[in-house]
Amino acid sequence: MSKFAQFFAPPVAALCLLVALWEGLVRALAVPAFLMPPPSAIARAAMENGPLLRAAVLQTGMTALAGFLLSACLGNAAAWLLGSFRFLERAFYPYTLFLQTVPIVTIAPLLVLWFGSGSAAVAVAAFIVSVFPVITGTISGMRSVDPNLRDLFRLYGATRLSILTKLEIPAALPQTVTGLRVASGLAVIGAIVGEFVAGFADESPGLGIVVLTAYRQLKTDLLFAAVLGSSALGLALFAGVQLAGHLLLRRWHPSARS
Amino acid sequence: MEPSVAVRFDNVERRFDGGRPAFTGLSLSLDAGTFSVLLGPSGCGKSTLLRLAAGLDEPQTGRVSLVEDGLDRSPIGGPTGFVFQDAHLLPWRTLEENVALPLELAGIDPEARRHLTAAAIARVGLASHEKKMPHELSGGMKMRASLARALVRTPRLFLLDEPFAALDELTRQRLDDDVRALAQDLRITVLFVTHSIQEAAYLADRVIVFSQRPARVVADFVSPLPRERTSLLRFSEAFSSFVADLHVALLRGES
Ligand SMILES: Nc1ncnc2c1ncn2[C@@H]1O[C@H](COP(=O)(O)OP(=O)(O)OP(=O)(O)O)[C@@H](O)[C@H]1O
Ligand SMILES: [Mg+2]
Repeated sequence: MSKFAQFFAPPVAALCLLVALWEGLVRALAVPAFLMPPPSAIARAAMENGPLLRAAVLQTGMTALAGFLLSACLGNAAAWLLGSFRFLERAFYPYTLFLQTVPIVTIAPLLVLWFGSGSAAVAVAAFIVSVFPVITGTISGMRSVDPNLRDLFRLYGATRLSILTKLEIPAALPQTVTGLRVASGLAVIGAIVGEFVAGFADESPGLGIVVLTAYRQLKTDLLFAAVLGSSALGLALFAGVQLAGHLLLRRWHPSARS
Repeated sequence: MEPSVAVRFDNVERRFDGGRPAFTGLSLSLDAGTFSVLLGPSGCGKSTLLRLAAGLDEPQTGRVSLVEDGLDRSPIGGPTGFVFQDAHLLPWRTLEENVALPLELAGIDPEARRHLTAAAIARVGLASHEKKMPHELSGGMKMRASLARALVRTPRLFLLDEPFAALDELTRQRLDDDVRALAQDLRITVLFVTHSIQEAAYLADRVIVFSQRPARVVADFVSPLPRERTSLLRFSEAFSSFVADLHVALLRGES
């Protein structure tokens, strides 16, 4: 058996077993479909609503990606600034905690006021939810630079900017990538929650809207299909970050070798 | 050939929070172009002394200065190469890019950088490995790369902090020969810290033995060995008796 098959056979077998069990139990116990539809019904709903779901995944995917990219850029820029100047870190770092602790549903209405309903507000929600791990990842990476390497740069008269670009940013990269990985999942969550509050203005409804509508109409099979769509989206973004991180780190970092 | 520098410690005191000071009232001078080895018990302040000479640390009282052409200057930003106990290469750069780092930080243009880097790499015997990443190099090769990086800007003061302590005996002896040869060719002032009495005896023009904290100079030897060092010397009578002298001095400093 190839390595590939060895790796994928167990989870695929487990999935088949679970799906079969689910289908069998739901039918045997005659569970009402609006409570728990069988996998076959979910698959049918997914087929029938194919265009709608595809468009929803695309719509949410775009806003989540936009929010994620904002996090990657602004989060790293903030981390470089805070990490370079102790007084800035001392002054501002406590307030970045706000970004992590504030429940996004509570500020989503505010975002609607500022950006109007629609993609912009949704992307900003995705950004707010996902930026914190980027900041902390990169800052803690910068903090853990080997002091001997700092001495080396000091000995050779490196400027603050050289220390940042030639030492701290590359040394922090593994932790930056870890932060981005976490952020990718959060951005999808943030986009969907954002859509619950702010997504109605878009001509093409995102996954959050599909979920809400399916729920109100008790189309539980479509609801399940939308849930699957969201996790597929989250996985795709995660895999993208993983791949980019691997390409960046593979030449030197132990985590990306082997 | 540029003249090398002398190093002067005048009445230096360095205390760290809590505990006994590393030095109080330490005075010591290293003549230009000499190879000095510093031997002393663990924790006595050898690394601290090197850091002071490199301008990476400052004394609370007293003064550390480099003397060039009869003029005193601060060690900060001095013409200094430093080699740590571990190679401390940047793992994301190739060997070549690591060696070029000091030139890059000094703003040397890429053309000159390439020349100087290639020369430094050749000098430590690593030509043909330029494109390798640090994790592809053996421990000995990493230390050679670290030497090349310290030499690439042609320092006139060369500080080494137990550079080869982690290597096997034969690799260490080979690198000792190389360092000694490099120092002689370039006529740089060297301050070399080691725990190994044999290594000290083999390398030094002068061996300074420190006591326990606060460090004092308990013994100061001029090497009785000929200027040219070869492996055979390690089996000579003169070498053995020098090692014995150093051993006794070190024991005296421990108590
Ligand atoms: N940054 C620091 N903060 C506090 N104490 C320090 C610091 N650096 C060194 N010391 C103390 O100063 C003393 C001398 O340290 P140093 O590293 O110079 O010793 P050493 O002779 O190089 O030891 P070793 O042979 O183990 O490398 C030690 O007792 C150490 O605990
Ligand atoms: Mg030390």
